Amino acid sequence: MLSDIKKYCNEINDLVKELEIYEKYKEQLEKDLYTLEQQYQQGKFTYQKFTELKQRLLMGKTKQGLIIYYNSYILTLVKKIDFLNTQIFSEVYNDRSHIDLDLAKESFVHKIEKAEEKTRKELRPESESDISAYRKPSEVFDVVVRPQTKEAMKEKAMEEKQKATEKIIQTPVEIKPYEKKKVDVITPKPQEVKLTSSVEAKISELYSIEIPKPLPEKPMLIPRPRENIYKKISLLFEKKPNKKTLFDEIEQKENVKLKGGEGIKLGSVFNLGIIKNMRERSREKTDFLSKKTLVSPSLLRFKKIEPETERMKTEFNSTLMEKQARQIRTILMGRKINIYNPTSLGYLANLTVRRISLFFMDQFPDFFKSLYLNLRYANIKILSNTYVNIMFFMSIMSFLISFPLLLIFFLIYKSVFIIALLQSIALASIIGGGIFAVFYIYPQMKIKQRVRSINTNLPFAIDHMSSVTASGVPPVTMFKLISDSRDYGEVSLEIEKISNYIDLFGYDLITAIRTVSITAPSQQFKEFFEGMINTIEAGGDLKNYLSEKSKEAMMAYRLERQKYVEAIATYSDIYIGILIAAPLFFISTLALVSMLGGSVGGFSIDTLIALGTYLIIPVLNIFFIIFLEINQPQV
Amino acid sequence: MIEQIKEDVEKISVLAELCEDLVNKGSNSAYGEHETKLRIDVAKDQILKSTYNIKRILTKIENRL
Repeated sequence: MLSDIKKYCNEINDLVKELEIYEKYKEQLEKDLYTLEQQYQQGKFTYQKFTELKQRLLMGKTKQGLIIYYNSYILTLVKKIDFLNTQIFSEVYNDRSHIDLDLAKESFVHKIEKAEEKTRKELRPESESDISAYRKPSEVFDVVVRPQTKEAMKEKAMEEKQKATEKIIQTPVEIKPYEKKKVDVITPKPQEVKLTSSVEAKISELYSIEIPKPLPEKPMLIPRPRENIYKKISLLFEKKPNKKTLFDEIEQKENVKLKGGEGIKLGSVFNLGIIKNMRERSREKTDFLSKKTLVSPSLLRFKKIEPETERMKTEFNSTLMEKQARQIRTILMGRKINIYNPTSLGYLANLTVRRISLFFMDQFPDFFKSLYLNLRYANIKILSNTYVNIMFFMSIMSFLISFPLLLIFFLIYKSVFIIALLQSIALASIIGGGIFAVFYIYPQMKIKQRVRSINTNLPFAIDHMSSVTASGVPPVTMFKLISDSRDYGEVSLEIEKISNYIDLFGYDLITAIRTVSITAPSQQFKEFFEGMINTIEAGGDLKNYLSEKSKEAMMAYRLERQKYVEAIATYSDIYIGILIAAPLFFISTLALVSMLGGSVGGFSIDTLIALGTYLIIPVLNIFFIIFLEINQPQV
Repeated sequence: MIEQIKEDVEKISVLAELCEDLVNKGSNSAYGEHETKLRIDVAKDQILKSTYNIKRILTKIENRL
């Protein structure tokens, strides 16, 4: 049993060590990931570095995948340990070593009996003839036994015994002297007694002498220190208060025995059979496996850690939330990243007029530099060179198309070819130049439009950003939310650039913001983002910055609106004066003049009234609307 | 939990050794027949308890996984 159980125990120990290692790996992984996420939340890493470190930690797998891998291996180890544990259980449960112990006891008794038998054989003659040879005439041994006192009988018996022995010795028959056989037993005392009694029996049998048997001696009780029975029983079921092994207990008891301190106690009153019965009964009633077990310190530690780990799992995690939100958004909206799509017009222009445009760009670099900048500010999604090529291509094409058409037109109306040719060349050139100018000015127009849109939407976008940041969301997520909302016109587009720089090009947050702020057309927008960069770099509180900026922008917006409303009130007075009251007076005056007769400035009164009603007043209204449009603030 | 398993395994190992020792000595041991048997039984009971503890902990680990 020992070798098997020891072998199993060693195997279990090995497996437990491995299990411990894998448990540690798993714990370490979760701890490291948590620390990494915390550090990322604190802004110690960029998103790219965070993902890189995370991938390195996870060894190219997902977190779930790696944990499942660890769990499956741990489960395999647990199954192996369980199997070995069951083996130990069955070994111990089926062990019958106590039965062997009984047999050993029987064999001990057997040994004594055998020794007695052997002695008898030695004492007894081999055959009846031999026995007869030992026999003496009866008269010699004619002893009358009378009832006497015990002492007298004993003395007499002893004398008789001595005489008989002497006679036997005197006989010529050689009797082998009795040699006490050494029996390998620990308690020789009962053996000696038994052998003596057997010799007496033999003598009495041989010589028909009634030897008065001595009074049966009570088996000598050796006072042996015994344990209290209640202690023994309670030992089976009680929990050990400390980590005392059974060896320690035994040693303690041995010491007590040696000292002889305990002596005979209550346990010695009962015989061991009763103890055994009691123990058997108690074993029948209670299962040998105690339901209550000691709670180990490691288990307590686990119980302490368990809610912590659960809390960690259920805790609000902005990174995971961001990830999940992104996934959901991608599924729902099918978001696609806008990329520069090549156009056939650009392709054609690049093929045909590339050399011309390059020549002009070399000749007039400053002229085209401003165009390049404007193209970037205007966020026109065409490559700058391609745009210039298109510009030249369209100008040349418009010239080439308009020239023959104009030539035909002028030839039809004017017969002189040279004049018609010159006129058509001039007009075609103007058209071509006009197309070129439109292409050149278009980015500027777009920039103005963008600036207006940005300035109008910026206060609201800042307010949104402030709210999002206040909820503890990292700046990258904040930008993602703003860009995805599409509620802030050009601001959304600019912020989308930031998230694209981070996600696609792998820029860090500050570089991405700085790049966008450089190409932003609005001065307010630039100032806002530069302030944000400074706050992040200086380690300031972004939440406070955004909150302050939001308040500031809203205040500026309100003031601008108020100013505009006041200006509108003035314009309305002007409108009432010029376009309502003045025409009224004008018409009434003309009506009076028409009654008098005559004309004003060579025009008849009716003509003037018609001109005023159908031309002047509508034209003035149109001009007024244009004026309002021009004077409208950019917010 | 793993510490508890280790502790129980160590206990089993020691108790098995003790059991074997007692069985080998048998009635010749210093304790006498009944005392020896009692000690063997107690040791075996303790081993079985320890196996039960191990089983219980393993089930816990398995459930946690």
